[in-house]
Amino acid sequence: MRSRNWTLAAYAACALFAVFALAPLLWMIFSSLKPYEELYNFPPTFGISSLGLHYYEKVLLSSPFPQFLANSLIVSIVSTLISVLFAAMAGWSLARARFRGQWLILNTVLLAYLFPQALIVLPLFTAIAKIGLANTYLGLILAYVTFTFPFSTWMLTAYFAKVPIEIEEAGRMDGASNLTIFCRLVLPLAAPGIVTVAIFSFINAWNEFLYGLVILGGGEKRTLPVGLYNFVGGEFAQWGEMMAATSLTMLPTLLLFLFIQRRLVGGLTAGAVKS
Amino acid sequence: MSALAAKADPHQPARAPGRRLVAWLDERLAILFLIPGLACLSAVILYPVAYNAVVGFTNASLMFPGWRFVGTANFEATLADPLFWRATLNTLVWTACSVAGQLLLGLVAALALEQVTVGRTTLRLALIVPWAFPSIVMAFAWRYMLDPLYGVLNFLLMQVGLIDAPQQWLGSPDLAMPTVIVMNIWFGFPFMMVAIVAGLQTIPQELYEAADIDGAGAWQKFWYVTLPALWQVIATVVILRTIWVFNNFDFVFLTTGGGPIDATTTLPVYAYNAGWQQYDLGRMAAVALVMMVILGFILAVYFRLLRLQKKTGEA
Repeated sequence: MRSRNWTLAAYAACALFAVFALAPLLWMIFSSLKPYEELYNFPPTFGISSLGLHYYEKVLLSSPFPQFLANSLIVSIVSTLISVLFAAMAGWSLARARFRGQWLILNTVLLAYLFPQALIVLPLFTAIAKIGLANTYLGLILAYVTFTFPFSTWMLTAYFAKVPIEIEEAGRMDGASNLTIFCRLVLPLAAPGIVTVAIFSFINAWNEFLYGLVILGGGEKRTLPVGLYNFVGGEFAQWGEMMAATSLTMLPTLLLFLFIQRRLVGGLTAGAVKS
Repeated sequence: MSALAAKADPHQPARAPGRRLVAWLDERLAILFLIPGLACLSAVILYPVAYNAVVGFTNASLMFPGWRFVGTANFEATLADPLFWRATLNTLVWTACSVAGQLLLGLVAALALEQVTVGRTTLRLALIVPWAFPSIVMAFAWRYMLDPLYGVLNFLLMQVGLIDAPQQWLGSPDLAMPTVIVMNIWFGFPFMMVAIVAGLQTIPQELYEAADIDGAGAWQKFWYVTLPALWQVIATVVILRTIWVFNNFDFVFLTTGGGPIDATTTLPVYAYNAGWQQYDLGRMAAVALVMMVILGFILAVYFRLLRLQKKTGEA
């Protein structure tokens, strides 16, 4: 009977945790649907009869939100593609080849992944400004590639290490070049890992704030986090617009995140496979 | 076996001269493939460290062109600034409490989740939702909930009787730090939970059966079987999280901006303000270097403790 009590306690704990975890999300979405008057009531109202999509209409049709959204999509997608390509190349190389300094590179990758942003942001900004890329998509894309690359490599090295080497050897017997083996055999086999890593690096780029703030300043090319931040006190002074805008910003991350969550842990913990 | 670096197969037919370069490159593909990555790594490691190490000793500024070496003036100014020490203390409190809270909640959530059979997948998905929050969304979702005038949290806590009057969660110097720490715990416990759930699944069931035979209670099983088996996982996630939380800029900056009256100014925010509010790049670089030293020190202590734990564990 003791274990029964434990199970009951576990359900109760899980319920509490679920409320704690979900409350901010639910309250944000709920508030984004409320009419203006009800947003500033105390005590807050919980009725659902007056809910509507008016703030979403406002945000999507008469605010700079769509522009920010487009900026975020461009920067996140392009930087993810480049970063995953580089990471796949480096990851395969690190998982398969043996050469001096390999251990050092793997550890540097890990170190880079843990490096303080405060230390990187200033030099990165100066460098990007110096080559004339401040306030451009390309500038921010470069910044995102460099900062998502280490983690992507760390995870992909682990995935590639699991691809059976016999397959590559068979390809080599048939006289295929290394490049062919990589493109035709290795990449397809590691596809699930690559998708996970791509999604993860997309989410990181999508959520990133500091580099965006520093590199894009207040220009037209601001990404969503920077745009939303700057518009506090401006177009988004009202909580209604803000809650609708943040709910929309959250949507892609949430969906992608729930989609890859199972594979994420494996990748995180398996990173140490070679060292 | 070392496939990629292998020399060309002598049995292969000689290639046409034009293709020799291609073949030569292909043999060295593993090294070539590392080049873009190494460029990225130097951009995020070598260059920043070198840059900060140089600029930290200059009076470089975003306002004026040109710079000159000023010796250790930036470090002296930083160490003489009371706000720097305030920020250091804030950072230590912020890091220690956040990581401890995240670990505790993550551990409890993982253990509870393991016991649950009905609706486990749904619950698991629900519990990792905070992890998916972009920092900007988290900051604003919480700021609205915590608003002193119309925030829902004040209302709920008053209903339950925990507080008598609405509180300025983010607006009062006493409450701001605990509040952002709770936000950070909320954001970070799913990561701990997921890692610990993965760790729990690697514990052989026989250990628990053996403990049952020995007549161990639930608490004893946790203490003597579960916890020792999780030690490795816990150490890893704690180290990772400590680094992340210590270095984290967005949460505090977007939620309180370091206020009120510097109650939540952490070192990353302090460094940012030196560079982007006061345009003093030399100071910012100096602060970044000092941060590295402090973080290095914390990690050294961790690894020391880990080694001690291992030794006593084996003894």
